[in-house]
Amino acid sequence: MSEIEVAQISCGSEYTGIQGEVESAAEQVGAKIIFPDIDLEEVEAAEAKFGLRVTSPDLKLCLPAQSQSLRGIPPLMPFSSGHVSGAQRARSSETRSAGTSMINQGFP
Amino acid sequence: MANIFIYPSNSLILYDLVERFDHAPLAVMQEIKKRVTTAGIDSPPLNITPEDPKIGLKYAAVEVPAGVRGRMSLLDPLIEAAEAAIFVEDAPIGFGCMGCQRTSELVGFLIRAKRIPILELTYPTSDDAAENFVYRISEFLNGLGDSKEAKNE
Repeated sequence: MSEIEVAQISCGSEYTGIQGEVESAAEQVGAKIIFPDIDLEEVEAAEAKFGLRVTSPDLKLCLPAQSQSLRGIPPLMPFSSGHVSGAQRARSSETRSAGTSMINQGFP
Repeated sequence: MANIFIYPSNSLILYDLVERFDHAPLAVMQEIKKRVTTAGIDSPPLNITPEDPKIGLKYAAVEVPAGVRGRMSLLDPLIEAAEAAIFVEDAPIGFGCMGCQRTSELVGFLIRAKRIPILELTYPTSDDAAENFVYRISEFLNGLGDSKEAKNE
């Protein structure tokens, strides 16, 4: 089974002393905490894209980080297991394209 | 040689400038180094343990986020040791980034409350302003040396 990558988008958790606990919780379910890579330009453009002005640089970092992490995530399947019908597959594909277009056009 | 608190506290440019004028810069990297090179602590990535936000209670109430209090535990020794300070406002992230605006405001307040010499500058955006920026820092730091020598005499 491939390792599940969980994007962590948080503000200041590394200063709280609980970061180790977050990572150990992820390990227990076979997941790995990752921090999305983002360009400095994306950080600077994020406020205009989101329409939200924040003063803390860590929060500024969170805005593009969440867009970046959503890019690689497949949409949730309507049913948890079993046979995937053609309709479900089509719905999944719609969700994916809707999500991608939201990100491309600037969310929200 | 005086201990100079720098803001942003992880600015390598400010750190270097203070060192070049023969003073001791106080930067957050020194505190992180102590933590990550101490054997027996295992709380990655900065080795800040759950005890650190408790140390931060010295400056902020328990309702204040643990991230702010953890940062204050890192900055506490620097604030205590500060004999002068250089603040650079409106700096871009690449110049140095404190991460949390509320922590920055609290640190600014605490340094000002110490009644030590403070140089407050705005981040330069042109070549002329950059030259003036370095000149003002040099004048401030050289002046600190003079006043210390005068006191000793």
